[in-house]
Amino acid sequence: MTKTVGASIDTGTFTKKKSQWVEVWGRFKKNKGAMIGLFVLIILIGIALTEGLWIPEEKVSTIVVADRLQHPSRAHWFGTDEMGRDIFWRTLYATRFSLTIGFVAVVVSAVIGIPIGAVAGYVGGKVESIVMRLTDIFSAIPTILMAIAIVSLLGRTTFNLMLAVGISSVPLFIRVTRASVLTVKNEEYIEAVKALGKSDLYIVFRHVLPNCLSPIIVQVTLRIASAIISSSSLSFLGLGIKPPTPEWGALLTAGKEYIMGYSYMCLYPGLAIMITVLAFNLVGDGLRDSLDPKLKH
Amino acid sequence: MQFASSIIRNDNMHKYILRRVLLLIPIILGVSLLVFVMTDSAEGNVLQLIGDDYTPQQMAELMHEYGYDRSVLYRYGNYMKGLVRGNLGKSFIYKRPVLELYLQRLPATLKLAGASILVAIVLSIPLGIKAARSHGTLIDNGSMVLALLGLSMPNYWLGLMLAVLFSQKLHWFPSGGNLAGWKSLVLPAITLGTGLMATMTRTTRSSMLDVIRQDYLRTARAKGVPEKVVIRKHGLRNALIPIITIIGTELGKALGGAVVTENVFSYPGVGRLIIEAVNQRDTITVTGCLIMTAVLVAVIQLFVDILYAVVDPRLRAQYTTGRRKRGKKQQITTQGAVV
Amino acid sequence: MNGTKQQNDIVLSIKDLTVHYEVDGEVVEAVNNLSLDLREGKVLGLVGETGAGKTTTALSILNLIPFPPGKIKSGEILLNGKNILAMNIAELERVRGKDVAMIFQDPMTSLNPVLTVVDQVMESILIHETSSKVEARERAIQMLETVGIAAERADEYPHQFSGGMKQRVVIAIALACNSRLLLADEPTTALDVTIQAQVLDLMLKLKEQFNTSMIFITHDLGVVAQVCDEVAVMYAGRIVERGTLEDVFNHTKHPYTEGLFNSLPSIEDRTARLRPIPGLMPDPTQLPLGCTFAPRCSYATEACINTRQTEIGFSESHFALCSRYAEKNFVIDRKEID
Repeated sequence: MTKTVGASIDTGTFTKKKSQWVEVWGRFKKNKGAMIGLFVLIILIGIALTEGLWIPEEKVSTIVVADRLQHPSRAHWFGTDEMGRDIFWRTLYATRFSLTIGFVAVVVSAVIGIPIGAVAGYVGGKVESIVMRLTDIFSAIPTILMAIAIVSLLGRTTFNLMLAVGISSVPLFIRVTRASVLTVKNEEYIEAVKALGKSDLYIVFRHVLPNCLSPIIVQVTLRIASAIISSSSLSFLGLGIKPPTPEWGALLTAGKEYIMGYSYMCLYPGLAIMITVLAFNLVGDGLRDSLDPKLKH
Repeated sequence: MQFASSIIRNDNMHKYILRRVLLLIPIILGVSLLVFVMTDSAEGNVLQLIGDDYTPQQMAELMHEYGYDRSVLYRYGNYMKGLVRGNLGKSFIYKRPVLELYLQRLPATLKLAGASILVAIVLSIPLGIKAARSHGTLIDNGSMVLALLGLSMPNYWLGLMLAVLFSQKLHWFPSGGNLAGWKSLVLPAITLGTGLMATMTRTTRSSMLDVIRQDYLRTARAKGVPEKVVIRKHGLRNALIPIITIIGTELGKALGGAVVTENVFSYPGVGRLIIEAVNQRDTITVTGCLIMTAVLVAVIQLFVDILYAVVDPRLRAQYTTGRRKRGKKQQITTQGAVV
Repeated sequence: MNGTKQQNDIVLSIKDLTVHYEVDGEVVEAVNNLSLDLREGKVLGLVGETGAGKTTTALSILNLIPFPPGKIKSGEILLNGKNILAMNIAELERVRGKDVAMIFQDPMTSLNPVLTVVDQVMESILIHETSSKVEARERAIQMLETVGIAAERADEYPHQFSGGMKQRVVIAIALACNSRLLLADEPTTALDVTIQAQVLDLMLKLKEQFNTSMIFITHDLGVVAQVCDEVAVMYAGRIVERGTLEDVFNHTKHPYTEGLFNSLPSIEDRTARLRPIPGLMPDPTQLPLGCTFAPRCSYATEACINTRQTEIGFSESHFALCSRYAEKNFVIDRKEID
């Protein structure tokens, strides 16, 4: 134990970046849950990227009236829906759609929230207090209600759904980034760069933000999980993606009509969401523990 | 409780609470402006939708009546004039005042959110403490896996599955409405409470783990304080600080989450009202409900902040500017504090 | 070792104490076969570097070694003749804070931030001495005044006090029940030099007043000279030399003790260079079989590293753990002072 610490101190100052990530990975590897999560995520992303190549189109969208509302069986592992489409293939195929929504939503909130939070934290003073008051106002409205309001404002399209889910978690990114910038901005190396006469903008994006990455990365991972849940909730409420689009929330919404007697229609898409979200949460927790071992319990 | 009231009686605390209440005003103004502008410019309000039923002249009169021939800010001003007097406008669809609709649905939502947060507190705090104290054991790992599962479940899905199992298959509880008394509250409360419980268990555990390692617990043990009291009096009081924050934010989340849960169980609360209104483009109802919900969340946050100050003397000192007065009066108040 | 005439005024007797910490499958031997006795009204200085096992020894006396990872493997700790390590939890709770109390090292973290200082001082009085809150409070305020904290400040919270004042509160907590034995774990290390002197004076005064025995843990030899009657020098979990203050300071025997003195700046000879002990303490997970200090010792022979050391007595009170004294003419460089 003591030996490894000593070694990292010796080399740390010279090759900080590289050894830091090697160490993070070393700690991450030891976390069984996080590794399981990562494994599941890799499989899911693999499915999402390649599904067009091996999932037969007709399995997903062809209507076979004779096969409608079949309970799970050897032929249809997850059963069939009211149009006779195979739920197993549809659930698998929905991976791409659902993951994309989660990713895009988080990209939206990160792209808006991180710069605002960084500037607020770095500049401080009036700018900071105005930004933070606005953030307070914004987050007085529960996220899901905010997303509902935005979707009904912009119209019910897939893109707007992602935008709504993204925008509604902007305050979170502002808060996390600001808090992290506040801890970094008074470090001596930032003072040193300032002394070199670099512009504030340069300092924020080149030196401050890269050193605030840990909490932001963790937040991104965890937010993807909750974005997947929020967007599917909106679909469920009839404000997001509509059936028969192959998306987990929409599959569930379609199944809701047949919940009495055909509950399998809801069971499997829901399980898919849960497994995905669980994987993101496991990885997010693992990242947090390995990025900041001080916080580890 | 004696303790809490004695602290609030302190003069500076009064001032702090007053300041916090006054701070609600800009938040309410900001939120209402934000919500109003958003919903006001939503595509297709109800007037345009029902346009076919009216002659152009009638339409123009209606537009004028609701201020649609003027700017957004004019309409906002009008709206706020009403809001101050407790008038949130009249629903296009229900033909009734929005405030009345809201207040009619509010008790059901409060009952639901309250029941689920109560269940969550009662179950998650002991579980979190137990997990922290048996850190690394099966109990700890097991409850953490459960909490993570609870966190990863979409709650509408959980609701549907509970309804299938306990209502359709076992006939224990009704799956919708609120006509069966407390029984119709059970499934919605579990549905909404699961996520809250998961977060709160995790927070309690990590907060307790932090506190368990603190030197002051060792100091207490070295005094001969019984272990139970060490955990309750010295540990929990300190661990409570982050737990209180999370209860505050979770209550806010519960009010939001209620929208989904209420729709799963056709439970007649504010959430169901909002979705009905959104689906019927009943803009004015949506606006009113969103603003009222935001105000409710802000008020909860206020309570949490005050509770904070009660539990943590460091924050209390920070909030109540200046050093506390010393002397007789102080003595009396803190004598009451020796619980 | 100790004559029968002294038998009944022995407050504390530790016999063959061994404490291990087990982390990630590795065993840290924090305290090894430690034995010591403490008589009534005496102050024993426990000296050594950070990590030598001083705090672990003190916590063992309260049976407060955190488990996991810590575990008392063997030994006996007799407090007023009763073995602490054989007590059940209820008996322990009666002893802690009453028969033996501890002053903790770091005043910043040792006080509970959400309780007023008087609450924290009166807690042990309420547990051990009286059930009347009013009386306990009165006594707690008295104790706070004794350590130099005005009664008006009793209802303040720890964050309202400076470091030195917090340390006084920690001391007041430990003194609240007039324990016969006080364990002081570097009570002045966290303080400024001027406040250090005040706190030391205070502790000595209180010791006289209540006839308390004390184990005084420190790495500061100057403080030891000022406060202690007896000294035990610890190195890597073992006591390497013990005796009266005179024995250890003026007739130093163990090379490690000599090394400690050599690394002190000298007031008489300001030009003299400090001679720090070369090397580091051994990895506590892999202690050598023989003398743990041998790798850093300029007197060490092959035999020192490979054979188990036994204590060698120089007088009725003075012992050292160094097998080189088995040789007739062995002496260390440090001069004896008479």
